[in-house]
Amino acid sequence: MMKSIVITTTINKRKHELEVHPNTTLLDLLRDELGLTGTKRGCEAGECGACTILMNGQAVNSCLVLAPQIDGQEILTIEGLADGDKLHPLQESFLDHDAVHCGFCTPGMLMSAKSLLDRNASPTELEVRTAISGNLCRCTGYQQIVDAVLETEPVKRET
Amino acid sequence: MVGKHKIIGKPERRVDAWGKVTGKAKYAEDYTVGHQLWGKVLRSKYPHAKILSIDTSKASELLGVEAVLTAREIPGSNVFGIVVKNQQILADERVRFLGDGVALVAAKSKEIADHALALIDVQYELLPVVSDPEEALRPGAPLIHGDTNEFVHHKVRKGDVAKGFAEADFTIERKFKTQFVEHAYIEPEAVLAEPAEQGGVKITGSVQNLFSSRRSVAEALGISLNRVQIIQSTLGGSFGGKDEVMTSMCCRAALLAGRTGKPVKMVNTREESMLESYKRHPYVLYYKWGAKKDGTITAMEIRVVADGGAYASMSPFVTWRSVVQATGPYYCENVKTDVYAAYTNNNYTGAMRGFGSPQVDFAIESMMDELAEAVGVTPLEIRMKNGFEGGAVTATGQKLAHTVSLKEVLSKAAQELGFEEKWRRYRDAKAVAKRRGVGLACSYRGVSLGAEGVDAAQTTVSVQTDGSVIVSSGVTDMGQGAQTQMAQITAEVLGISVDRIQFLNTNTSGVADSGPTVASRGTVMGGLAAKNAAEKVRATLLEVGSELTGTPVDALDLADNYLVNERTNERLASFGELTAACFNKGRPMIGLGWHKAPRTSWHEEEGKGDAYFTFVYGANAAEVEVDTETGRVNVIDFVSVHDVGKAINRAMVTGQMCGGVAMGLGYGLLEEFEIEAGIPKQLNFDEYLIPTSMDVPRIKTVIVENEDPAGPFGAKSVGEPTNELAAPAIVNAIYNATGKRVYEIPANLERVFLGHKLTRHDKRGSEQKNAFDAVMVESCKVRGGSE
Amino acid sequence: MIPKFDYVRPDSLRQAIKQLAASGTRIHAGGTDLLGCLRDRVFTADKVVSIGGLSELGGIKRASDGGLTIGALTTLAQLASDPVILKDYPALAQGALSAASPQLRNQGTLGGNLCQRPRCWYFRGDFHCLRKGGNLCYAVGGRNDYHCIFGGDACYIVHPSDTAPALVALGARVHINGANGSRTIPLESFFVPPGKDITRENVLAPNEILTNVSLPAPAPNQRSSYRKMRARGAWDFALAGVALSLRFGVGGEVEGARVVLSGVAPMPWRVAEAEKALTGKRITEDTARAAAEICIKGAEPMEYNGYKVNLVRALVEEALLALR
Repeated sequence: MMKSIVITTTINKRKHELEVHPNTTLLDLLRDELGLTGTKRGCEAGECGACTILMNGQAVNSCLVLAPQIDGQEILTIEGLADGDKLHPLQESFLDHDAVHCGFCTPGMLMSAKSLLDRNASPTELEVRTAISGNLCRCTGYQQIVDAVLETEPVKRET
Repeated sequence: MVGKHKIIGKPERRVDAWGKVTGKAKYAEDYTVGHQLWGKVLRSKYPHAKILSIDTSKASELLGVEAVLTAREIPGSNVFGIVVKNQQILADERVRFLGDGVALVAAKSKEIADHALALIDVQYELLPVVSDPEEALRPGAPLIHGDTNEFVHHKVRKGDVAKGFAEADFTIERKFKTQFVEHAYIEPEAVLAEPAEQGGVKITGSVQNLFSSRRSVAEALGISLNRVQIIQSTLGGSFGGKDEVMTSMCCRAALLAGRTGKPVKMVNTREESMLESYKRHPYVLYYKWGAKKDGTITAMEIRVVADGGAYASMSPFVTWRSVVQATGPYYCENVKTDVYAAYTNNNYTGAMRGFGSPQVDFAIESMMDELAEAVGVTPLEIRMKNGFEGGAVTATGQKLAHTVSLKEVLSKAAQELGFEEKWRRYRDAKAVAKRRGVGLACSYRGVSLGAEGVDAAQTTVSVQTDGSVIVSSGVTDMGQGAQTQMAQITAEVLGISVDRIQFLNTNTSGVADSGPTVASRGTVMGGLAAKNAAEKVRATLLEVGSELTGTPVDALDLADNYLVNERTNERLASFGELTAACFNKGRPMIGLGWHKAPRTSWHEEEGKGDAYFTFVYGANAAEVEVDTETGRVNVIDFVSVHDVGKAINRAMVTGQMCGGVAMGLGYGLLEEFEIEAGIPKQLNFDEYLIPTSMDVPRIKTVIVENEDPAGPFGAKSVGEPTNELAAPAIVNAIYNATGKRVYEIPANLERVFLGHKLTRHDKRGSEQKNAFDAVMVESCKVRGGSE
Repeated sequence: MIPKFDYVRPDSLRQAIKQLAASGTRIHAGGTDLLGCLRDRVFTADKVVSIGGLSELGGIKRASDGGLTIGALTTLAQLASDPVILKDYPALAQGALSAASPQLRNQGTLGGNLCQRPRCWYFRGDFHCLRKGGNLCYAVGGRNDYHCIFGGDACYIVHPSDTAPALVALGARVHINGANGSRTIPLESFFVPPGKDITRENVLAPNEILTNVSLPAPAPNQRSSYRKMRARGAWDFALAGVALSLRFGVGGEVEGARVVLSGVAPMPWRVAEAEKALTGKRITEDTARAAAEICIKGAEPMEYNGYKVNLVRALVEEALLALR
């Protein structure tokens, strides 16, 4: 019989001690166990990027992370991007640039964009396009998303 | 209303975007209730087979399984279909494509449901597979339904083509082919069905066209329409794709919920989604044009065969748009167009953004460039010579009474890219390895359903005592922004800011049947219904305001969230005070808006009619770089110009244009859903490639506005026309660069390199091939079904 | 759904190797290929051994001989951005950067990239093909658009790695630890052609772990590159690619060359004849074209993958000229 594993992890700045089945993906853990449904399930194969979250500041596909892998790690999901009711500058910029159409790729896009801006406060268009090249969007043609990231006010960028 | 618009035309933030950037928006899979069961579908093992027996006993006995259903256990009707009722919720005697469902399981967990599926024993007898639409129309082909595979034949007749060809100085005859295309909405299908009172059911799901799905659920359960409530969750993209595939999912979940008395959730994996969902039709197009030396087109004879796949779906409507628009926006006195659809054992094909136009536009616009070359003029010149102007009579005999802006959009697209100069320069350039080229494409497109459908929609506006407003509509939002444009229209009419409006997700029990949100009808139909509703509320509010202030109604206006005296600009009451007064006086707080589309007509036998009440015009110009040693095409510049009548929200119109071009670029260069002997090859995004941020260039968008009285504030449509021109513009640009024309899309490496698919001589004899097909079929235990 | 398995997290390499003794055991590092294979039932696992936390397997270190030792757990993102690799072994950085997506590069490891299973759609699908113990290669008569044009033998996969061809060109060796001790072999001989054993792609025994990869010190006038052609602009396996490592003499002539193709064979495909043809010559349009022609000699395209021949020729020529 499969043994469950106890892990401790920080998700959106809150500590959790969780008992997980090892075949549970981080995506399933977030959505089904923790109710954090902002992270989206699109392909479960690392081929769409809708489930992108930050693990220790790095953008990863949560569908390809096993729950035990986050033991001792720090996770940030879309639910942790805003500071309470105060939206992150990237979120404001997405709203201003109409970078959100159906919205299903949006949480993953925002996480990829955040990981870029955290290491590079004023990226070029090519850098932005590269950073979101692992996030498929079928609605926007990417242009308004690229503009939203490029025009996120540097002074307001926070890590 | 007097003066300029305050809300219309402004880039307002979307009313539904806050939830989407915070992760709080609820999509179908995000709905969970206590004690819900997981529903799963056992799908067919073969593309075409007789079902001999289904043994569900082992699955039923599995611990945690609460129901196993087959076609026999369906209390009501097992068949559905918007035009032709020949699709089954569960196959009873025969499976016709690999995505057909055979049995259902509801269990306490996904794992148990998966396990139960593996325990269902289905015995099949294999039937011959037909996977090619032209083969399917030949005598002796395996039959999919009834006694013929031909289920659509639309025609258009004008003048006399024989006479037209006799008058011609030359003819151009070409064959074109297009591919299956997956919608590739990033959100896979999902529903939650909950049993409701009196044998009813409440369904929350990613449903595009709620009313047709509701009808099928009611018929499947054998209950009346008012007992079935379908609520649309936030939709993660649809592009025409969440129609029948959602109808069957709704029916299945409802059947399981009815059987178990418990909520049932069903979610497709990506593999299940790609396996079962319908696609954009592949077309084979035979175009023959006769023309004079000066470029005048004297005759067009067009024959098109569409692969309808296993079921009728929207094919009759999709192909009807094709037949109406098959000649493009060009004058021609003699036209004979025939469009056929054939059943095959492939995925069925239905509505997808463009709805029958991307295929014919690829052919028309390629032909137009060939005509230009034959005549010795530029692609722009040939289009300016033959393109429609105001009052033109179309191939179907319709006189265009609106502003015909074809030449305006064409010139703007050409000018923005520097088309004429570049086209000449690239044509005459030296034959180096990497070559540039530019291409042009344009179209006209009928707005809304046209003459084949009943076309009416409802939107309701209700004001609250605090001055906030609720809007709901039968026209649905799937990401294109329908809610926002209806909210802007409502805000404009009521003189309030958009943030006062809360838009309710569409609920079949809350609004009247408004037909499907397809065919570029969202803005016009939903928008005019919203305008109609808001105007009723406005009239009431102004009356109340007049009673309240003693100012005559015609001196009153609603602006900036206030009731104002239009003559003195004095603010007489806040909008909230006004709505409170309306309530206290017992006056109606709600406006029910209804819009029925203007009259259209169609004579199927004569192939003539006033097909659509108005049209939109668009032009795209592409610049590419082609590596002639590899066939690799990079799109380096792109201009998209569309006359949208009036942009309700400029940012959203721009977004539609960019998104449409990106999808069109995928159509022209990249995407192909391959089906081999009835078996799809790509079931996830590692194999079915859609454009990434690195594939789409920066797109220059030009919005042209010739207001049309047929739409709200002059607005028409933008979602679909933006998707139909990128492929031909790119293919024409490839020709300009290389001198080689691609007749089959996608224009992938080998087609661009050689102009055709590079294949080695097929050594296998037909006997061997049949043996291979049989092995393929034998081994096609498809992933989605066994998980 | 990923089927159930037991999960162990050994705290040393020795413990990990011990855990591998049981049959039905799989190694978990980045997990990007493992999870997909388990989910799609390409193979099964009773037990999964996590090696992600083993510090012995991480890090990029200068070796005493001036070369570089790269731990198997180094991510593709680290390979693509490491200043030493960018400077001394650009082919490897380019290979790593051209693979997959940013997210997958943050997750995927070098060891995993070298050991990943093929992407053949029949192998990944539910076809019981030769590589999975069946008796038929479906690609032979089926859709073989993305299959090999060299080295096919009953099975026609291509090796999917973009780092492997670069590393072979750079003369990499791999270090392998197992229950019976450790061994170091040239990366070139790490891969197993289908003619030798159709069920696996490398020489790793079930109880062995690839621990690190070492690169020789770069020669003073060495230049390297990796170039690949894919169907879309990002996030796609190579339709064809070429890794080059060239050592130039003082007069600009090639003193030593390695030419390794990707995306066209069941393993990184070294073209010794092209290497020989380049040696002693300067890179000109003529020598580049001649070497490219040699590279496509003996290609055996199938029904749908003939386009790869053109790709190889164009890529090799272009890559050689770019290194001039």
